[in-house]
Amino acid sequence: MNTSPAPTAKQQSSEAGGWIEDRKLWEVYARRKYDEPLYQVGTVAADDPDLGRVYARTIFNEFPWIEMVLIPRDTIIPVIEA
Amino acid sequence: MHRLEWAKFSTETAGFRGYDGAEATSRRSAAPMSDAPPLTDQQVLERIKNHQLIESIEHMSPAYLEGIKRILTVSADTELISAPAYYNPARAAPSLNPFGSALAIIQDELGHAHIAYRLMRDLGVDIDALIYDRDPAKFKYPYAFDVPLTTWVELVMANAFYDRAGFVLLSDVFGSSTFGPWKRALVKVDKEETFHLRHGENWMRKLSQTTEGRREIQRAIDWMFLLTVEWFGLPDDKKRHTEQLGFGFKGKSNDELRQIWMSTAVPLCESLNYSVPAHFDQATERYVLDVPFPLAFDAENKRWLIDEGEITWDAVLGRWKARGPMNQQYVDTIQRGHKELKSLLAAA
Ligand SMILES: [Fe+2]
Ligand SMILES: [Fe+2]
Repeated sequence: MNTSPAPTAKQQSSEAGGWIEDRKLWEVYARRKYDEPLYQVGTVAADDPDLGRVYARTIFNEFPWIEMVLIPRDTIIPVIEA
Repeated sequence: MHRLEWAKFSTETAGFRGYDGAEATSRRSAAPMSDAPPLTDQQVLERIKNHQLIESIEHMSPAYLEGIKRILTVSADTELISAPAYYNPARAAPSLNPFGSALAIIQDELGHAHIAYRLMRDLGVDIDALIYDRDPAKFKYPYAFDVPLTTWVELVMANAFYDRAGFVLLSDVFGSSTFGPWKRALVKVDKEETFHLRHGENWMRKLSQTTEGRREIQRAIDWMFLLTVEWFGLPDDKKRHTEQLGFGFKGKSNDELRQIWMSTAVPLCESLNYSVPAHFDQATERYVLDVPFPLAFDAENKRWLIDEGEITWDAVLGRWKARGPMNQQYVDTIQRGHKELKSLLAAA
């Protein structure tokens, strides 16, 4: 099933330019201590989850995290919006 | 249908549609970002007054969007250009460990650039075009980076001065920004910029133990100090677009930020007995410059033309706009690989 909306003109033009830049977006969540919850530390673009792991690790290396996870952005369903 | 309701509605289908629609959407909803920001300035100000941060384009007015894009572009471009600018002198590192820490700093800067460009992509900006197709002269980083850093001493002085300027500016954004995603991202950036400027200070102390080191540091201060003073932009009484409308893009004024920078940069240099063209004035309780300002700058020879006396800010703006000696080369370094791969693929 494909319910994707038609790509915008801008998306089409950058896709025509090639696939050099990653398009899939991931939310990066991490925590530093066992008694704290995961929180959002940033986002990365990576078409491949393994590359996403590498990008997240290298870009968000500011703390010695005890846990870090990637969540595909478009699987997030807002319940209460800020 | 009201826009936010539409966003909630479309989210229900988003779970089934794979990743290809993820481009230029926010975390909070699947609303396409190419649409115009829906709020009026009044609604944005109301939100800010209620201490609610702006979380995505759905909370913006056209003026807020333009403003935040402008300030994010300056920040992202500055972080990005610092990578090639620092890489040249990093290769002049005196041994392996300092080479490693210089590369770690460069990696941090690329991370900072990544964060700012990613946020802009969520605001509907075509980042590929912005980074790889833009004319070098259109990049929006401070003029100081256009003057080549060539030695290890110049690199560590850039850490001590330029990274300090970045830290001052971003701490201000962190303290006052109303754009939530950026504000939260700056926790990381501030922490790393602190490391960069400490790196500069530690090396200054170490190198100051030798006569030759002292002479090189003083030489670097002589051209780099005033370039960093300039970094903070036009003085408050000359600033042109102040149409910030209380959107909270910035907390302090250019002159206030310049003072904050000098309040740590000047004592640092003085504590190591270097001469800087500024001192603390007890009467006004402000740092004041000891030379005419602004001045003409001879970029080729890295020399301020003090004898020519004070020039106009229009002349300074002209120099900034024309960009300096390294602009083309640094932007080429950033764009080259992308362009080469693209033409390789086109030819295949
Ligand atoms: Fe940085
Ligand atoms: Fe830095």
